[in-house]
Amino acid sequence: MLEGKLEQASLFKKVVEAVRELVQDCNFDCTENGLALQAMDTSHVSLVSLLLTADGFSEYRCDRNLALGINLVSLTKILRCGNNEDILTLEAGDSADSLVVRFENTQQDRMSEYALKLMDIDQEHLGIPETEYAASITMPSTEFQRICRDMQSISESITIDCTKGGVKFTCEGDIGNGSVTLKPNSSADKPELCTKIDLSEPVSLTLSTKYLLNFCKATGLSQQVTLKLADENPILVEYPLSAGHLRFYLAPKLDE
Amino acid sequence: MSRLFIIPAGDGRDDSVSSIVTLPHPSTAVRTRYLVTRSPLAIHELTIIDHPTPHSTLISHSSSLDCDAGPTPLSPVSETSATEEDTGCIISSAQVHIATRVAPFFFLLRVLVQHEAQYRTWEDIFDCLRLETPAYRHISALLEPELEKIADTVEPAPGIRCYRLSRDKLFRLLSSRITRMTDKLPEILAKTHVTSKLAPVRFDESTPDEMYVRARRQVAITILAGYLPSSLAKAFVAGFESEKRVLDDYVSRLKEARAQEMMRQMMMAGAGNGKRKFEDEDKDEALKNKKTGKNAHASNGVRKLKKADTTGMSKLSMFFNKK
Repeated sequence: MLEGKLEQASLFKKVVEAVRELVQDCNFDCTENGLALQAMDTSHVSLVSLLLTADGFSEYRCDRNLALGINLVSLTKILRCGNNEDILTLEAGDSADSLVVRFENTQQDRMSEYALKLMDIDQEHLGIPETEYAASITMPSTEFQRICRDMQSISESITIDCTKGGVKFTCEGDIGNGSVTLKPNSSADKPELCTKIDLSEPVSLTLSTKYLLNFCKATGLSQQVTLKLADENPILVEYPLSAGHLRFYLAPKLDE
Repeated sequence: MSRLFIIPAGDGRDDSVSSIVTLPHPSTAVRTRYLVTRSPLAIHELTIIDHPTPHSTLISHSSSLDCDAGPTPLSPVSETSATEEDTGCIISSAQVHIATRVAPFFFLLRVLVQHEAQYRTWEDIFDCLRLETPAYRHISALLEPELEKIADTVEPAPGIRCYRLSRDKLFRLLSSRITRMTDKLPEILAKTHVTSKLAPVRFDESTPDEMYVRARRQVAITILAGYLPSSLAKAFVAGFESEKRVLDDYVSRLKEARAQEMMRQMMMAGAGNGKRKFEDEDKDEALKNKKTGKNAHASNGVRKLKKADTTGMSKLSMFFNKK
């Protein structure tokens, strides 16, 4: 039996809206520690990994591990039936064939309940090894989104070069090229606008603009995003959540 | 692995050897691959056109695969038979490398602009280039004659010539190219950057020819500026600022008129009541999917990603182990 209560439906709505841009169907793995999800896009070049820990829920109980197979477009349709401020409860029996989604408004005088049919999804899980990243860049998530948006009209790929002096995003396409350079900065009163670079050695990765832009659908979840880079390894784009995280991995474009 | 190149007619004749060299891009200094043909000696930039899904290409030397000859029997076109009979070959990729000539003087500009105040000999200039990459030796014979076109010269001693960048000469040369490019702008560029931008709001209106010429010139200026080092590009583009402003004003007036016209049409159709919400978007999406036979259970993002170019990207299972 799973029962999880979130004080604000908006968090779960935003998470699902972000993940559905990458995968169509996936399993939500429910354990006593919380809710997790790992899935790859159809080309298997990117992976999304979500963790909502039990502390993030105002009430949480999961007696037995459950894998809830869900079509994310259908789940979005149901989540749109509730308001952002509503209290959201997710409920599923041990051998249930549907997930019950319940909304309760803040005045507690309106309750709505929907059931989403579950699917059997055969999904492979990948073990993600601990990687020593050469660079870790933490920056405003809106800035990262803006760079990806601006560059999508110029090129199919973005190169991220990280050196001691800063991080440089460049793109080169048929119409021309472009670059954005960000230098580390810190501001005590507005920590969300800081750019922080931890670097052990300079690193450069070329990545698909379309995929990065898709990851940016998670911008609303967190004011800051962390990019972790290691040569010839998938980039990690992480949006921290108050209890958990939403991580995206993307294979780099390598010269043949 | 074999690759397919399309090079301008007459370049790289049968008996000459062409090579690929890596040189810094004239504008950005990013290392870029160029094709150098020997006979006649010319440098070409490469544009790769690819197919989003795996395809292979059959190149046939004989006319046996002529489309007019009707359907081709499947069996004779195997890789081995093609090689044996020397009638063609199969390349396991749909990539086509389109080679376009680049004027060699662009490759001199970054070095010349670094020492803009000094007169220097060709040997000095070439040494600077060679420091960047020795690969310049492949095109040195192309570069030296080009200096005269873009530099002032002095002869301090008999037989010794020194060169210094002349912005006047360079910009005059580029201006003549703008005129040439304006007249011969490829159809696809004209369509995206000129015709669609300047399309009149209503059928009974027309855009002045002068604006079309201005828009075509702006495309040419932008393309040329893409080959200049940033300081030169800024000065070059600034020279056409007033010309650009007239065009920009006209385009923004057109945009405004177009928006008003659209509002008017929406009001007439009764669609402008501001009640459109997510549900409608979903309905539209579902309707569109129904018409095109697409999967209604996948989001827009998922469908867009199916079209993303993933060449050169390995599957994640290469990096992460299966559990």
